[in-house]
Amino acid sequence: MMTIENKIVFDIKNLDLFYGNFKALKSISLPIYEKEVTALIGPSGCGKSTFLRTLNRMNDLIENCKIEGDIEYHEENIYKTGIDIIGLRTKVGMVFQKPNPFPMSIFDNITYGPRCQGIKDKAVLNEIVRTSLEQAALWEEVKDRLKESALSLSGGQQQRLCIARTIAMKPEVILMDEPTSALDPVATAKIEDLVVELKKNYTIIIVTHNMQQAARISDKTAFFLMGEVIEYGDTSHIFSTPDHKKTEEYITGRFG
Amino acid sequence: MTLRQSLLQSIEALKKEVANMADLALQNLREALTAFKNNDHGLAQDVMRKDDEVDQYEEEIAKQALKIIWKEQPVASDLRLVTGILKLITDLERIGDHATDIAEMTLHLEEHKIRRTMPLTSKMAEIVDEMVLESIQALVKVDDVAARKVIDRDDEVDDLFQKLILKMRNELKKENMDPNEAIYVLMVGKYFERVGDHAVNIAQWIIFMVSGTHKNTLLF
Repeated sequence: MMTIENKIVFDIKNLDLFYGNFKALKSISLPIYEKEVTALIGPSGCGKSTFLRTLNRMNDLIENCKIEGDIEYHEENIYKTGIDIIGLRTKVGMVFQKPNPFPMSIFDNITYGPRCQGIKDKAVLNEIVRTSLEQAALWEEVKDRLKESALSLSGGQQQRLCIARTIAMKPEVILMDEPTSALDPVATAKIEDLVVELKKNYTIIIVTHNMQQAARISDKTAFFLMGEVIEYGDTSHIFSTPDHKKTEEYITGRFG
Repeated sequence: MTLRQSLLQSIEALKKEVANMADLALQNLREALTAFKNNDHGLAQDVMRKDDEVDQYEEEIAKQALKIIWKEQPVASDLRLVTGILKLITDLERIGDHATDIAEMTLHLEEHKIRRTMPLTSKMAEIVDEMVLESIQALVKVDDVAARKVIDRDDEVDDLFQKLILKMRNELKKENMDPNEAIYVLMVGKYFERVGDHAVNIAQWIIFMVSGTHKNTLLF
């Protein structure tokens, strides 16, 4: 069951992905809607992170990785030849499981991307730092220590810095691969609140092993199992009256 | 491999407690009817005493269900089952109350005066007893087909109650009956009719447990 309100950002059609001879994703077809949070759940090794990484072509970095089928980003196939991959990754940013700030100041972490794009104006960079940190709900905590090393921040702050660093590139979509699995409950709650806030402006796709997190923050949920999407729909439907027995068994802890 | 053993065990324990509560409520209802039929004041007082146990079950089950919710954070069928139980124990408790009400009527009636009106009340009581029993069985199996059958039987009870009203009216017109007696017989009939409604409510929560839908409204 699915309520459709927003327009489609990604339209994935019959996606197969192979690592050598191993078929890691099998006939995945699903739309991702604008300014919604889509959660990808499923047991380890089910293909959810692999799927996430196809959306900004991070799998290109893996040898022997082959893709069949279509992933359309605003109706353009991102796997066609001649696509601007750097441009794609600017529009489709990513936050990883473990906070990975660069070993430089908080300020430089945020401005690294914009500088690479050629922005040099100090006032513009200052503004990017401020708005990115504000949107990542970190500004108040770090505004007086922007020149300090990012590594001096707590784990939760580092993860929000990584989100700010992604936001600084003015993306449209943010991919999050288990962004809170290395964080304590308080830091996790802050990131969850942030995700809900960010969806006003961004489309978010999040891989999570935390079922309650998916239930709390996502609009849509896709349940992956052994490389297939078993069920995809409104989160309220998946967590209350899922259509498929396997979904039911997984989310209620009958198997995992 | 099955995970979350503690959730599964807690849910099984909860279901058992609800079945025990339902058994007690039904037993009280049966004894209330026996007391009413036989004008057995001692039995009627026993039934009234035992209602406290039904009330205690309701509290204990509510505590257990809430504990499962905060501790296990159930979803999907587990969530529907636990919340459905939280709702239907109110109906079980009300069935217990009506058993007490019927027992109380016994204390107001004089001996030997009620026999001529018993066929209708007995038939009502028989159907209502089956409805309660079948709703409990449907609950234990979480069987929505059986639950729907319970709902379908409610019309029979309502029809019988209408017949009882007509019969009482005629008896009173013909002055065949003491008005006091007629009132108590009618009230007992009404209590059975209400118990039938509670069995229907229980059945509707069982349908919710299966489908997430309550009285044709999806609650999620």
